[in-house]
Amino acid sequence: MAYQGEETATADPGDYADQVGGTSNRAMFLTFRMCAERFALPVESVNEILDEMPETPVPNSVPWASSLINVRGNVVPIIDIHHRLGLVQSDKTDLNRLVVLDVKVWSELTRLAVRVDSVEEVIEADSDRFEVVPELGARWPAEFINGVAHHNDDLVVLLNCENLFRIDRRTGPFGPS
Amino acid sequence: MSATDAFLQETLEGLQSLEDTLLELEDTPSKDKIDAVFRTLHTIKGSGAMFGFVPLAEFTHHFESAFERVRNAEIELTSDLISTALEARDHMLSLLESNHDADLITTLQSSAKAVDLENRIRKFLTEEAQKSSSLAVTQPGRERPEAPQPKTFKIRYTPDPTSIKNGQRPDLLIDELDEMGDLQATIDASHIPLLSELDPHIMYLRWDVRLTTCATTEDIEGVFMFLDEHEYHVEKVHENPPKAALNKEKQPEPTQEPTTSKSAKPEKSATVRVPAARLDDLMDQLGELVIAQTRLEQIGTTSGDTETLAVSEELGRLITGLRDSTLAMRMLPIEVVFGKFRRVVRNLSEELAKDVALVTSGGDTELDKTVIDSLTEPLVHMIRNALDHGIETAETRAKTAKPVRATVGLVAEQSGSEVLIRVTDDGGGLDAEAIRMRAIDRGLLKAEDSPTLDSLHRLIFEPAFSTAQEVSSISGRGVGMDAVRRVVNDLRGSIDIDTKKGIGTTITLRLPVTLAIIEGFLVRVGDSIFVLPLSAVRECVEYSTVENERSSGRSMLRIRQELVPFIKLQDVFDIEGHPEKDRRVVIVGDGDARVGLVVDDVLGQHQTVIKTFSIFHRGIRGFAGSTILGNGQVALIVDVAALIKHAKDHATPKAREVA
Repeated sequence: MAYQGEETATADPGDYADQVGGTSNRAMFLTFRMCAERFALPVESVNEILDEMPETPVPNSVPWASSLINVRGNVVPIIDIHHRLGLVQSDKTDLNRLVVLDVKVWSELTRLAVRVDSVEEVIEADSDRFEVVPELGARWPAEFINGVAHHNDDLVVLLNCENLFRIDRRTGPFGPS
Repeated sequence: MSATDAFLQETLEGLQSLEDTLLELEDTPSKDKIDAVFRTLHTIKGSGAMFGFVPLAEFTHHFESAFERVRNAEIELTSDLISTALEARDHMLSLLESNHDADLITTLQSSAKAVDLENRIRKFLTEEAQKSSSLAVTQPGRERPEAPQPKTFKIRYTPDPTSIKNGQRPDLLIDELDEMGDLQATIDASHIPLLSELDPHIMYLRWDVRLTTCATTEDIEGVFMFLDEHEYHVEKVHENPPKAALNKEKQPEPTQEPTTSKSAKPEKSATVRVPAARLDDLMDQLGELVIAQTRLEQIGTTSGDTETLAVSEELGRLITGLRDSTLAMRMLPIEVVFGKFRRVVRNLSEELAKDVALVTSGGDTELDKTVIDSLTEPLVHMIRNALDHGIETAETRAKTAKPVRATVGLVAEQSGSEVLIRVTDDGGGLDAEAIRMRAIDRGLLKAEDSPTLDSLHRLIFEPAFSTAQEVSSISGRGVGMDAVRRVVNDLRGSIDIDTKKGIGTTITLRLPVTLAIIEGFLVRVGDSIFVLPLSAVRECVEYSTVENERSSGRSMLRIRQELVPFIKLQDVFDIEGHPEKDRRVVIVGDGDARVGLVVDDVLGQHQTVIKTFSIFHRGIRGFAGSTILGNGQVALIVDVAALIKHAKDHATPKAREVA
């Protein structure tokens, strides 16, 4: 699969910290593209990567959690992170993938899937190197972003799983019942 | 599961069976039951001390001593004693629950109730023996007066190396054995390594114990009940009569021994405790297996390969068997909660000064564990209600020539894929006029309304109708009849009321046997497939043939002289339908309420495993969950009760009259 990039470790700017013997917080991240931007999620939360499959729409649901898929006998919701991040919906291509994640939503471990335009590779990086995005420079809701790092002359945006998938608890996603 | 967890669970179960046995003892005293009580107390005392539940163990010791006297027929088993025992059992439960909070324990132990309880127990301990027997003063627990000749046992105790980490206390075990009789223990220290290699967290010691006691092999094994079987070995030594000593070498066991060990052993391994989550996993995997088998069948059908089809059919048969056994594992007899109700009735009849007998039947009816767990509170409430509001006072009963002793019944029976649970009473029945007055008072009804008798009775389930605030000590646990209805709805069940003024009331809960699987009825709307619970489906009619009367935006169907409101699922779910000419209407019902659902097509029946929604979809009204169809597609399960409510809420005034 595309995300098994071999050049990962050598090209990574985080290597520098190791060489000087710094106390690095090295971690693995899965990077992927959405609307030409490169995003990353911690690899521990990634369960598997799947090709697109038939979805079952859920009537009366919120627009960013509107369908369900069958992942090996489990019913898993698809969370539209294009919508969450305010990105335009991309055209469908053969590179589209569903990334299945296990994340905590309100301290409840939840399996969910996100649709990405294409999966790139797994990189190893120092999590300290992700810089905080200046409030004005961000095109995405700041609470959904943990930081930005340079990688191979490219910017990688690290997403904040906790906030990205958090629904408003006071009302639930569907307003007070 | 850690040893302490195992102890907690065993003790909770022990306390439960203690309560049941005590209540049974009151009705039908028997030696066996007294022995059972004594055994339970003895186990709790012994293992309690071992696991550091000292206050519990100490209290239990007194309790046990008192019961020792009952066992030896020194004091009589009076109703007073039973009451004390029941309270003592409750006290033990509190001690168990608050063991790790020292402050709480102190408060608990010094409370007036506890002191009173201890005094009462002491009274039983010192009460003069009813039989002039010299046995009366023997120290309880140490010697059993009526016991046969003491026997000698050889016990090899080899604690697991990790046992100290798990909180095992060999010293306490040995102490407990010591209490049983004459004990000689030898420590086998040959496994202790050099000091430099010694890990203080590892158990290196073993014990060889020689115990002469009147206790049975079972009793001795009871001391080790929280250990693994490989950690101990109990063997009877035969040496009391010289004859036996001679035979010792040649005859390994007397005939009696194998029978006792046989009867003890299977009991130990007859049940296996399994965390419920593992059963859920098993159920999920089974669901996947069903899907895989359906795929195989489809491959066979398309290719026309008979061999594939034969294998698939065989698989299907096996899966059905596997599914049935998996479901059976989740089943418990409803009997397990009946004991709780006996206690409720006993306490309440005392408190209300009403003489009431609880008659139960069908205790062996099996229900999914989850159903039983969530049903307990509502049933307690219904029984309270029956006693409090249903059963008349003794004077009233005398006037109406009813037997003084009233009867509250709790009946469970299986009927097809449903379990019916009935709570009956021979009291005064529901007073329709009183309900009507209160409903008007609470704004549930208008003075000019004239509802049917049944819908009038059903008002007792409305939240606003609850009488909880009035009878605080009895019904005041915040569980109104509306809570009963909510629980039953959540379990996808329904409630019927049958009441006759002056004769009594029967409230019937209809519940699905299992929550994990439902019989589904598949319908298509647009490109989506939805599952309706088959139990809610009343009938199907053709949409084109029904008379479609539109009255101010609301649609009604005329079915056999009756008007039934209908809704189009495509509108409710905002789906683009494919309106073909032969659409169908599925009439679904919840109790008396009925509503027609217009669908594009009816696809048939399908047994489905229910998957609960994730946090993202849990709040959506109209759905009860999702499921996976034979072709692997996800389908949504429709919550019929919610749709009926939706239809009612959107009803025009005119329609409401008919509904």
